[in-house]
Amino acid sequence: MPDTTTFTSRELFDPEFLDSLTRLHILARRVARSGRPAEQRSRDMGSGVEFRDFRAYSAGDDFKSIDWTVYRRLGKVFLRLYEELEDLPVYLLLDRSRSLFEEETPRIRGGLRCALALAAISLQQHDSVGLFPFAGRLETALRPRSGKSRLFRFAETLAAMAPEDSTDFAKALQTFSGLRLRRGLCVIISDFFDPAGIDRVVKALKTVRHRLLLVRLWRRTDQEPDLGGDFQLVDCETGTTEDVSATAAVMEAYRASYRRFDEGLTSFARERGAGMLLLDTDREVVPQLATLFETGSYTV
Amino acid sequence: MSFTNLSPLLLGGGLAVLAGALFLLQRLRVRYQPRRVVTTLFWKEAVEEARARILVRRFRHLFAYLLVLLIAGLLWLGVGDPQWSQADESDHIILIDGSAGMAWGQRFEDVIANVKARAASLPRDRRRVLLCQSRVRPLLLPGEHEKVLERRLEGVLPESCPATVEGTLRELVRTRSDGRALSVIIAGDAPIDNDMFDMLGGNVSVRRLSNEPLDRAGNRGITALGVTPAESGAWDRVDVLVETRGGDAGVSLTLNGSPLDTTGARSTQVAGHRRLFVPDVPARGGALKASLAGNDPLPVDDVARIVLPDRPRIRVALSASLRATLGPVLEADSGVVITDGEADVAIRTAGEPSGGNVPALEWVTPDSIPQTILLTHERDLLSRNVLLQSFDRLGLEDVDTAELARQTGRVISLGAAPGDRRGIAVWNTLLGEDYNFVQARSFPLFVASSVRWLAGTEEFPAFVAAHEVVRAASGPAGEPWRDESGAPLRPPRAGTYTDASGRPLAASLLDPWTTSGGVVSEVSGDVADPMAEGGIDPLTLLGLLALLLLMIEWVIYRTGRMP
Repeated sequence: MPDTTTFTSRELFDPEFLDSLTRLHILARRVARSGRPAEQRSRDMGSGVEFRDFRAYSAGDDFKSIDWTVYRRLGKVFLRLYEELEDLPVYLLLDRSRSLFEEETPRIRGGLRCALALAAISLQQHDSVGLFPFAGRLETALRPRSGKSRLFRFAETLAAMAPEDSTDFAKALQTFSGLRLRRGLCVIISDFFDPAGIDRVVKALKTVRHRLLLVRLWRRTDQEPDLGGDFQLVDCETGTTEDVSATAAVMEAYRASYRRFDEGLTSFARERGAGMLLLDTDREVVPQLATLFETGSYTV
Repeated sequence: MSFTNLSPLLLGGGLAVLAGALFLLQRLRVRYQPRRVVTTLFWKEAVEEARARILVRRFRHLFAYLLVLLIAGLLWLGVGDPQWSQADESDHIILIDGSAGMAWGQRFEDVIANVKARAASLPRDRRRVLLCQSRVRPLLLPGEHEKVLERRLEGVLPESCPATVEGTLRELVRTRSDGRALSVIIAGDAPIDNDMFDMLGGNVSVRRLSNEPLDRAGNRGITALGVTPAESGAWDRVDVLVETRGGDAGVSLTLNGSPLDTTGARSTQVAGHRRLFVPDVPARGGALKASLAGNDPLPVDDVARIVLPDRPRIRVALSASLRATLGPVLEADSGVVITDGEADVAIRTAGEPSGGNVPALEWVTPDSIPQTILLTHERDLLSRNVLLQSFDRLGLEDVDTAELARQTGRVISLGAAPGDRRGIAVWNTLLGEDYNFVQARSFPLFVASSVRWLAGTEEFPAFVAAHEVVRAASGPAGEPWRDESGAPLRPPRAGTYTDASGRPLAASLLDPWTTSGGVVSEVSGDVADPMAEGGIDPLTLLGLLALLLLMIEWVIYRTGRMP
């Protein structure tokens, strides 16, 4: 099995694949203030074009916002309030630890396509998108910028992604917080297999100030490993070994351990109000993303 | 280390087979197949959980449990070292002959090997093994494991002493108080007199452990080495007698390491043994060694040693007044020399200065002492004992005291009292012409004995043999030599000893039976070979069963039918 798996940008930047994504929109339910105008709906009433509500006039209000039709009918001055649309910065945190580059079909493939898809959707909507690959440490591969033309650069960058050794969520997210980026949508694409354990992962996730979308690169064998007999399992990231005799008791204990991992992550997402996408890396990415955007738009 | 159930060949072969089998089993152990995985996070937790043991867990795997329990039970029984129950309820005692006669080639080692095997086949709680040498040493007591016997037998060699098995057996029978049957097994060639069997009760049997009878015809040895006062009458010389048996080899004698002048020696052949008589050997306390030339199967009896007595002539200061009376008597005594200088003993009339402060034979007036003869002895001796011993040693029994009493009209008496130094006071009237004491045959003997007693001349032993009481060569016959504790000196084995006076003694084996053997005993039934009657012992059987079960467990485990 190769240590690294690279993809051409053509393979990732499949026109049919991108075309299927254009129907999807990410609409921000909450966005940061002082963003530049975009197609993301804000709770703030501003100078957009889409009517949202009326409000009684008060001194200092913009005369241009007075609804004269209402004044004629009611004799009172009301202002028309329009929903202000702001852009939503999207920060793609892509796990590139060695575990994602393992196995026959590396799950990084699904991760790269997912990242590219999400970048494509966001750039399509004039959102600024940044790419932050991480493993033991976090790097800024592409600073948050908007513009549809950046998609090619995204594809090239993703295609050149090389693995790093061990996952360290705490360190990576600490670095990410230190960047002091404008509040936006933080999409973490990872298998979330941190040697420190799920508790440390959740603790690290709690430090993220942005809205969160967790994309778990999952595989059926994570939950039900096809293991029978006696094995010396070698952790591809840490190199540590574990002698395992796959008896029924051990398998049951494994499943219990995995359930704890799964519940830990799901509970966090539920409590935080974060989105979670369970992306089966053995299946095509687009249909699964379509499930996520089944209503045509994913509102965060 | 020795093994009672396995021959060395079988032991080695078994070890090799076990080593091979264990090696194969080792190769068959679980070999984990390496596999790279994206994470071992969940496996680590799973394995940790699977390892957990909790008491309240539901009982599972009954048959596996029973199998392990059975194996553990067998091993535990093995720790208990079970023995087959025996129909024989008698006590068993093995007497090992560890005397010099067993130093014949590999004789002792062969007997020891048989003893180990035989002891292992006897019921543990009713067996004893005693080593009979100069003293009897228990090697295995009831209840002790035979491994203890092996350890205690390490380094045990035959001792240079006569066989003591018969004496031990006699003591065992004599001190036996319970009525249980006793089976005595004699391991070795020690002779048992046939009359010994007469004193055995009906519930005591004596057998001999099977060993090939030993023919000692080819052995030569010294069976006697002794000294006596010289027949020539020379006080400072002794005659030496050496007796050898088995063959015609010459005896070489050395005195203090130098060849002894055997001029005048006479050799006689008597009924299978040869005697060499060497007269007039200087008695100056030297070490006399007799040895046989050449090699034979039993070298321990080829050498004998004895310490010759030290008998210098006694210097006597004789006063002028007595020279006419006692001079001829003293001059006739080869052990005495009359001197005017420094003397060992003085003979004088009371009040004369002759001799000075040395032990003296003084002739005194009858009024000065209550007894006819008064002995003055060392203060640490009892007067009563001195009197008893001196009566013989001074030759007083030869004095015709009745005639003296008749002639003197007084009671002739002997007394003793402690003093600063030895002394003998005698009525001077006995020297008068009115009495026949001076003319009596006992007078020279009395004077000679008195001079020797006053000079402190000691007796010397005729011979010193291992395991025999040392007795004097002259003087009161049969008087035992004393050791430093005052007990009769009986050297346990050949070697060097010291008597009560601190004088050295050299003891030799001098045992005719050891040298030339003899009839062992009429009742010497062989003991059956324990290997033939014992079969497999319980411990081995338990071990085999446990091994079999372990193999079954392994097969079950490997086939996945056991956790």
